[in-house]
Amino acid sequence: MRILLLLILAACTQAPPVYVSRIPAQSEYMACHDIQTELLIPQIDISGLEKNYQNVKEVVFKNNCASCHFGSDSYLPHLDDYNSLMTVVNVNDPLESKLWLTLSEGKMPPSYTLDSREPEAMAFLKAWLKEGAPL
Amino acid sequence: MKIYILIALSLLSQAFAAPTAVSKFKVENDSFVIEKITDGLATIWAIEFFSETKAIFTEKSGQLYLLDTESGVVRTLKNPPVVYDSGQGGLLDVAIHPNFSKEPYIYVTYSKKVGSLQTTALARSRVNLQDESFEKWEDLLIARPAQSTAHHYGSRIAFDNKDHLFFTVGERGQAPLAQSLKAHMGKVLRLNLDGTIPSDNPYVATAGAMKEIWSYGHRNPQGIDFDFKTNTLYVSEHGPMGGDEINLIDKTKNYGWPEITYGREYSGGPVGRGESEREGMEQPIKYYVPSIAPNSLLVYRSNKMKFFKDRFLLGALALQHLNVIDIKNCKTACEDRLALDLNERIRDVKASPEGLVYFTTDSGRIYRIKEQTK
Repeated sequence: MRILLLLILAACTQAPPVYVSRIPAQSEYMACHDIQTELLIPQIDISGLEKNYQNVKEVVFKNNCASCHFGSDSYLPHLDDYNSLMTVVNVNDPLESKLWLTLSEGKMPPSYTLDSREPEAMAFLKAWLKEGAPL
Repeated sequence: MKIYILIALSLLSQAFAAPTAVSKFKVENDSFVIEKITDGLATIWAIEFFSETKAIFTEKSGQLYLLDTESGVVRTLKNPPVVYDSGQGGLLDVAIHPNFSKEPYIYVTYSKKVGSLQTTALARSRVNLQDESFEKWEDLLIARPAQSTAHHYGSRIAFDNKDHLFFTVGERGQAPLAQSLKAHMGKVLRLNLDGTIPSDNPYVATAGAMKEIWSYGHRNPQGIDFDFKTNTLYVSEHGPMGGDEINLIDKTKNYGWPEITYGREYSGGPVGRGESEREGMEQPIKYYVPSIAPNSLLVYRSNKMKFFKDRFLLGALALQHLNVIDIKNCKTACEDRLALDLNERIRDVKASPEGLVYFTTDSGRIYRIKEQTK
């Protein structure tokens, strides 16, 4: 019974969810009101994250690519699936990968360039690619 | 032993923590707080309210839950419908029968496997809230013809004040079907609450036409609300690259996809002949370039929060915010973008019976906006 209790305690004391500081999306629109926002959730430094697929998915893909590339159309690379993602990654020459070229040349995402909006995310992706895109 | 069980139950219930303030915003002299109500699930596609403290919501992967909005506690409902969870499909919208106390039905839309193909379906079942269980699911409409694609299913549900149900269906990536009256794809459909076809539907006497059709020429309509103040139906839909729309829906009207649009192909080229208006086709009351990817639409008429009153609220997936615009003059008017700091893909937005604003996210969270007392 003590083991059961310890297991439950362990499950309930997991680390809090990771939140990543980002620059709010900017596009052409005229705001009606001056809105002052104060974020109350914790933020973390991306540079401290382990360079693996799960963190790349969380930091880069989830907020920028998911609407079309997470389990979506069959003709698009599924960035929420490591094997599918690796079809657009060249591990021998990662910065010549289709993934990197598409993002760094601003072809995707369609409405903004990732490098100008989230340079820290781009840097994290680049570092992960250079390490051979580990799972 | 009893103590251990009580401790275990107490700890497990904390998996769904009590509402927590995560963000604040101030507009002129009014201050608002955004609270996280629940966490830890997968994509929450839709939410609807039984009362101020009790809601039902769908998880795209195929589960339905009850939510206590005061405690954040979530309960799993037994016997959900069987859905095809793939691509953009899965368990999608949920709606509560307008006269639930006498007719305890829950309606859902979902993607359904039909042989080797798939399509959008509307189903309903009686629910027993005491047993937290559904009875038997009954398909009210299975959109035809089924397709091989796994995207653009729609779909949202709304009720009017005359016992009709409106149900949107996306064009499933087969754009020309949106212009065909022989297919349910790319349409707003109208049914009676039991799934039968109203005798005054506009195409009941048209040979070859789907008799449920109310309006057509839609791409992927994933937001709908009936404005009981003006008896008006509004629908929002995803455009291609740019060209998301809000439309005021009238029967038999053609909303233009793919003949006219303010969007472009993902390649950057024009859609079709590149036209954005044409005789006989309706103009949106609002369009967005670039796309915000609206996945829900709420007409806010409550007096609870004056900042939202008489405005549309749309949950945006692509630009990750809650889009707020005035209903009147929305075509040329400004817009407010809320919750940008949360970095969430917002799926559904609803008002509770008392007028608090709730929204759900792809990350499996439910948030609430309420005004801070002065």
